[in-house]
Order: sequence, then structure tokens, then C-alpha cells
Amino acid sequence: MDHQASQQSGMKKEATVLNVICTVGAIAFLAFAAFNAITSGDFFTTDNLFLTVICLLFALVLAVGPLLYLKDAGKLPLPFMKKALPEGSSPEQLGTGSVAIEHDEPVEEVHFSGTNKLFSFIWLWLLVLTAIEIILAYKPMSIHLMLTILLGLSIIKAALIIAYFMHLKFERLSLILTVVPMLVICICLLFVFFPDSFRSLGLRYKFNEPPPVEVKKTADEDQ
Amino acid sequence: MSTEARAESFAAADWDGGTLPYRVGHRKLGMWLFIVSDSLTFSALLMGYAYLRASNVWPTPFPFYPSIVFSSVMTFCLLSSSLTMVFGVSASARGDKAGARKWIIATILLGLAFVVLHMIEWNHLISEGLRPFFLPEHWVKVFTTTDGTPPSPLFGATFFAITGLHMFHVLTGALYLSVVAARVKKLKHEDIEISGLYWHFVDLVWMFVFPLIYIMSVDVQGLTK
Repeated sequence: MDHQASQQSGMKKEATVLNVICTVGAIAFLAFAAFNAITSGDFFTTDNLFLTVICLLFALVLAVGPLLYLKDAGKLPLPFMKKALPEGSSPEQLGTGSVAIEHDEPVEEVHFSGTNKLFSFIWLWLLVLTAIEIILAYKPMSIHLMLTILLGLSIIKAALIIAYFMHLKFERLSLILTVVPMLVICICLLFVFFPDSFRSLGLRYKFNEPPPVEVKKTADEDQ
Repeated sequence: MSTEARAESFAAADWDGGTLPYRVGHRKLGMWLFIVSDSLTFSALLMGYAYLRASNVWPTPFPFYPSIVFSSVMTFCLLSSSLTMVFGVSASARGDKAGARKWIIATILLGLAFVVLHMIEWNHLISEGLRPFFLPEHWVKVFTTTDGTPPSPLFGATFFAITGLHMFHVLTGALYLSVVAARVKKLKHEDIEISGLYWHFVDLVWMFVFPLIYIMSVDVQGLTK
């Protein structure tokens, strides 16, 4: 028993150190994002937005650990958690609670939440959002606005599919945190190529006057 | 157990081994990790497409019929197949394996309908003259800008690569599901759920491919007619 107690206090110390490191990291990233926002004159450039998004995402990932620790210790004031708990949802669905208790249970227990009615409702929403996308295609608007709306709708649809059909909403929070944030960060990192893409559009030779007929012909043949 | 004690035992109990920290079996965790890596493959392809599109004059050649009509019906097929798959998984959760098999077969059929419609749609474009590295001649004429810059011939490359890889995923999924449907009585519920995860992922990818490839390239003014 003594040994176990000392082991537990050792774990507690480790957890404290880890939480402190994560908090410092999160604050550093937030500070960097704020510093960047203050010092850059024109904030809304691709580079600035990219930097801010990445900094905020890293800060979020680093802050998740300490926040969850606080939540488990009951020191985090969460306005909606108390309402959510009594509605028959086991604490397991909400994340890290009640961990030590259920360890010895067999894994093969089938837990499947969500009714067919709920899934049909989600499917209807997906169809409606798709219909909106198709209608949008024929509305005259700038390509940037259209891209923003379409991507927004797509992300909503993807979130619906992941949360309900793929059942991630009903999984443990630790699985969600393992799968989702790093994927989002990796995809955001891919945006680093876009400044180069816009630059190469600017580098293209501009035909300022209508090209002679022969030149156009060879250009066609090249295609 | 008090919340305090739970918080203390949390780290030790969860990651000391002998438990499943994510409360899912290793096969399901493996499928989730595969899905993450596969979605990075598709993001990279879509990002490459966006890169090319932003740095080139890009044709927007898809007419309402056949392209948009076909792709909309395909979207409907794939979304509905996700619904039938989720019905199958919940039937299997209730222990109704025969019901699960029926729903999974419905899923396979809808997936195959998607592939067949997509093949017809590809055939329209190929017979019009679209190739991975060439545009049809009349597209080049129509989409050349007023200052004489021709449209990028890589349209076909991005289109065939992205939709082709997606179609390959659908075909693989149909194969996977037919094995699951054949062996449904021997499989555990979790295995059926895992096949569902894969199928929903294929649907999820199409939710990005459809707007970015098809809706963003609609020929509103009827130029290619």
C-alpha cells in the first residue's frame, strides 16, 4: 500500500510538471499570436492569418491537457456540464471521468447510442445542405465568397457525418482529441503553399495586346 | 470514489498498460488512424488542385446536364448508402445480424450505383475529348482569356486523379463490405462498426470532392454548348 501511495504521489508530481509545461507552451503560443497581431500593420494577409490559425491551434492543443485535468479535479467552472450530466449520459461519454472504475469490464460490450430516427434526421440535413450547394452553383457571386460558403457547408456536413454516422460524438474525449486536432493542424499546414501559388499567377507572362493569329494557333496546338 | 481521488488515479490507471485508454478495441483505433492518414492523402490532392487552380486560368466546363445532374444523383446515392450503413450497424448492435446483412447489401448496391453513374459521367467527359493532360479543343477556345492566356491543361489531371482515387475507395469499400456481409454471422459487432467507419469516411471525402471539383466548375453561361 505504501509503495502504491508513493507511486501515486510520483504520478501526481509528474502530472503537475506536465501541466505546467503545457500551460506555459499554450500561453507562449497565444502571446506570439497576439504579438503578431499587434506588430503587423495589415493583419488580413495570408501569412498573418496562417500564423494566427496555427498559433491558436497549437495553443488549444497544449491547453487541452491542463484544462481536462482541472475539469477532472472539479476546479474548472463549466456552465453547461452540470446540465448535461443528469440526462442519462454516462460520464464516460463526456470524457475522462470515471476512469478507474470500469477497467475490469470486458471490452466487447456493445455500446451504441443514437436511434434510427436521429440518423434519418441527420441524413435529411445532409441532403438539404447538398441541395443548397447545388443551388449556390447557379447564383452569380464572386468565386471567393462561393468558395467560403461551399467550404463552410462542407465542413458542417463532414462534422455531422463524423459526429453521428461515424459515432465519434459518442466516443471518449481522449479519442476525439487524438484524432481531430492534429489532422486539422496538418491540413492547415498545407496552406503554406498558397502564397507561392498566387505568386506564380503573377509571374505568368501577360499578353497585354491580343496575340498575333499564328502565335495563338501554336498555343492551341500545344494544348 | 471522490473526484479528487479519481483525478489522481487517472494518469496512472489509464496509461500503465492492461487497459484500453481510448475505450475502443485496437482494430477500431487502427481504422481511425488509417482514416486520419487517408484523409491527409485526399487533403494533399485537393490542396494540389487548389494550388493549380489559383495559379492558372482554370476552365469551368461542367454543364447542368449531364455533369451536375449526375454528380448530384451520385451524392444522393452515397449519402443514402451512409444511412443504410448506419442502419446496418445499429441492427448489428441490437444483435440482429440478418438485418445487418440486408442493410449492408443495400449499402453495397448504392455504392455500386455511385460507381456506375460515375463511370458514365467519366465517359461523357472522355468522349468530349478530355484527357489527363489535354483539354478538348473547343474548351480551349472558349476559356482562353481576353488577353490570350489559355486555360490550364491540368484540369483533366486533377479531375481524373481525385475522382478516380475516390472511386477506387468506393470500389474497395464495396469489396470490403461484401466480405463483411458474407461473414456477418461470424464477425463481432465492433468489426461491422469498423467497416461502417470506412464507408462513412468514403462518403465524407465526397462531401469535399463534390463542391470543390463539380460545384466550383459549373459552366453557368453555357459556354461549352
